[in-house]
Amino acid sequence: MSLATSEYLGIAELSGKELEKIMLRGGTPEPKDLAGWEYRGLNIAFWASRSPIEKFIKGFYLGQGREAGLVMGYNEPVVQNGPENPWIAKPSDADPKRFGFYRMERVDPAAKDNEYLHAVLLDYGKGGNFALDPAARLRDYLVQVEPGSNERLLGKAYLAIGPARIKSNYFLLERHKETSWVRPS
Amino acid sequence: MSKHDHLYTREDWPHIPGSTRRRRAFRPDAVEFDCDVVVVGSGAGGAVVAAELAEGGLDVIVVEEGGHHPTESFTPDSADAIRRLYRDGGAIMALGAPPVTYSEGRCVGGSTVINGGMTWRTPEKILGRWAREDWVEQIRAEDMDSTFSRVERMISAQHQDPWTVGRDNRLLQEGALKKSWDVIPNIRNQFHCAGTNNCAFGCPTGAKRSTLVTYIPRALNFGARVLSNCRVDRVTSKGKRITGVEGHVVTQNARDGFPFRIHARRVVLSAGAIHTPGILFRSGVHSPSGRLGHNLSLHPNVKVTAVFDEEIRGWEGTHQAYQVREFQNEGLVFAAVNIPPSIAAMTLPFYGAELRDLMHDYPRMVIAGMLLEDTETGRVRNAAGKPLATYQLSDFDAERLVRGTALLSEMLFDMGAKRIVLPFEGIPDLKSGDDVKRLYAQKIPKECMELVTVHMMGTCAMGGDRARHVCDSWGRVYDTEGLLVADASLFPSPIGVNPMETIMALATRVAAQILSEGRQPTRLYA
Repeated sequence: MSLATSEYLGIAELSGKELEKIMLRGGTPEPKDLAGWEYRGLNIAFWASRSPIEKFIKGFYLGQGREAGLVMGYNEPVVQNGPENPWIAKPSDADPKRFGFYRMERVDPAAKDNEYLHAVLLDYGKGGNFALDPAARLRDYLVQVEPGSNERLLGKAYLAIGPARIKSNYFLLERHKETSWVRPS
Repeated sequence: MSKHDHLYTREDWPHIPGSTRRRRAFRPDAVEFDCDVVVVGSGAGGAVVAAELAEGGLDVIVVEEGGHHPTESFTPDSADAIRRLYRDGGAIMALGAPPVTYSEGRCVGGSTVINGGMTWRTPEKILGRWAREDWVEQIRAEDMDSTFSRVERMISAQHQDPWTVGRDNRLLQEGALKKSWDVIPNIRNQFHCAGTNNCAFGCPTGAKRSTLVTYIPRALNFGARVLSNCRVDRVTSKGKRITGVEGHVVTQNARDGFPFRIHARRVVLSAGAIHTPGILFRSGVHSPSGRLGHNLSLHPNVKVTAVFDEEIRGWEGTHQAYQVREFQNEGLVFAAVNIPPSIAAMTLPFYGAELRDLMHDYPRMVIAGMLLEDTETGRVRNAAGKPLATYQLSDFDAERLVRGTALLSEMLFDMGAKRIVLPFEGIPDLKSGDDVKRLYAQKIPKECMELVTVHMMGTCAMGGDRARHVCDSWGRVYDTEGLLVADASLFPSPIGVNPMETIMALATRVAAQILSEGRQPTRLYA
C-alpha cells in the first residue's frame, strides 16, 4: 500500500497564496489521460484536519451508455488517519463506496463556471447525482502541478448556489492506482 | 478601384458598405459589422497585425480613433499637425514628482506618422532577459531574426543618405568621435529621405515609411476595412469569450457620433501602452496576475539646448542621423533632435525678454536629447473610464539623468558651445566646462527635472507566467479567449532603444499565431 510522497506532503503545507500561484501556473490535464486512474486526495483548509473528509480518493473513468465519450469521475471515502499514513478506502479497499460523481471537461469560456480557463472542470451538477445531493453543488477546477505531468494535480473547489459561486478550498491529488471500474449504465 | 476604397472616415457614416442595422441592435441607430478579427489602433502594432492577417486571408476591420491624413496634407505647420495628428495636443502627463509629459499619435498610422523613424532591433540582451526571466517563448535573437528582417523589408529600414544629414547631427557625431565615444548612424524606416526635418509632424514627401504608407495600404489591398474617427469604448464578451467591440464615431467637435458594434471571434488591441489597458479596464477584463496596467516604463528623456557661435541651421537635414551608444550599458543613449521654434520656445525655462533673446539664437542652437532605460515602473489606472498614468522617477535614474546631461554638455562644450540651457528648473545655465564639473557633483532635486517621453511600454506584459504576466508569449490575454494585445504594452521590460521595430516584430508574431490557430491562411509568410 503506497504512501503519499514527500513532494505531495510539501505542497500541502504551502500557503494559500503559493497554492494560487500553482493554480495559475499549472498545466492543463487531458481528461482522457486521467481515465482509468485513482488519485489520493487531500483537502487543504484550516478545517480539514478536524473533518471526516480531510482524505479521500478520486477516480476517473470513460463513461458508457448515456455517458459514452465523456470522462466521468467519482469520490471514495477513506479512513481519516492523517496524511502520513496510507489511503484506505471505506468500507474496504476491495469494495469501496463510490459517491459524488462528476463530469470532467475543458472549461468553456462562455459558461458560468469559467474561473480558470486553462484548468479542467469537475462538474458535479452533470455527474448524475441526486438533485438534492449536496455534492451536486460542487464545481472543482483541476490543473497539473508540474505542467506536462499528471502525477500530481491541484484542485480548487467552489460551491454553486444558484448563480453564485463560493470559493471553498484547495485540494491536492496524487496518482494512487489504476482502476477498471466503470459506473454501470 | 482607389487604394482607399475600404478606408472610411466620419463623413462616410452611416452608409458603410458591409454594415447592417439589425432589428435587435443594442441601440436603434447602431451600425453593426461582422468580421474575423477587429484590430484596435493602426500604428506600429495594429497596422502590422491587420496587414498580416488580411494577407493571410482573414476578414479584418481596423478601428482607429484618429482621422485619416494623407501625405499630401502634411506641412511644416506644427500647431496644425499637433492638433490633427497627436492625442490631446501632444502633451499628456504621467503624474508623479516630477511629472512626465508624454505624446502619442492619434491618426491613421498612429505614432509611426509622428515619430523620428528610428528602426532598431530589440537588443539581444533584452530578448535574452525576456526569455530567461519572463519565460517568453521563441523570443531569442536567433528566433526573431526572420521576423525582424520581414519588418525591415516592409518599412525600408536603412541608413540615411549622407547628404541629408544636418549640421547639428554632424556636430554630435564629430563631438562623440573626438571623445572616442561609440557613435552609430541611425537606421531609419525611410527611402531617400529628403531631410526636411518634419518627421514629428508627418513626412511631407512620404519618404518616411510609416504604417500610413506601408502596412495600411497593404492591409487595404488585401481587403481589410479601416474605420477612422472611430473610438472603441469596450470589448464585448460572453463570459470570458470575446465577441467583438462596441464604440462610436468621433465627431468633429469630439462628441459621440454614431454608435457601432463589430462582431468578431478575435479582438487585437493595439492602442498603445496607455489606452490598451484603458480599454481592458473599461471592458471589465481582469488579469489573474493582478498586473494589468502595472509595469509602465517610459524611457524618460531630457534635452539640453546648446548655443554656438556658428550658424547651425538645425532645421536643415534629417530629424536624427546618429546615436551615441557609448553609455548604452548604463542605459543612456544620446541624439541631436531639432524641434521647431514654436515648440522650442514653449519648452525653454524662460519668458519675456530673456526668452526673446535666447530665441534670437535659434539658428545657432543644437538641441540634444537623451533616452534613459529606466529601472522604475509606473502604473496606468482606470479613472472614471479614462486611463490615468502615474510614474515616480527613482533616485538611481535621476542620478543617471544628471550624469548623462553632464556628459552631453561636456561634449557640446568641446565642440564649441558657448551656453547650455539645462532641463532642470532653477539650475543656472552652463557657460563653460568648469560649470559641467560642478554639475557632476551637484545634487539636483528630482522635482526640478523636465521629463518628456514618447516611449510608453509594458502595461500588459507578456510572459509564460499567469501569476506575473497579463499576456502569454503570443499576446493572448490570460484568462480570456479571443483577446490579444499587439503593441508596446507587451514589453516585459524597457528595451533601451527606440521601440518601433520591436512593436512591429511582436505584432508580426501575434498575427502569425492567430493564423496558425485560425482557419488555414491563403498565403504563408515569405
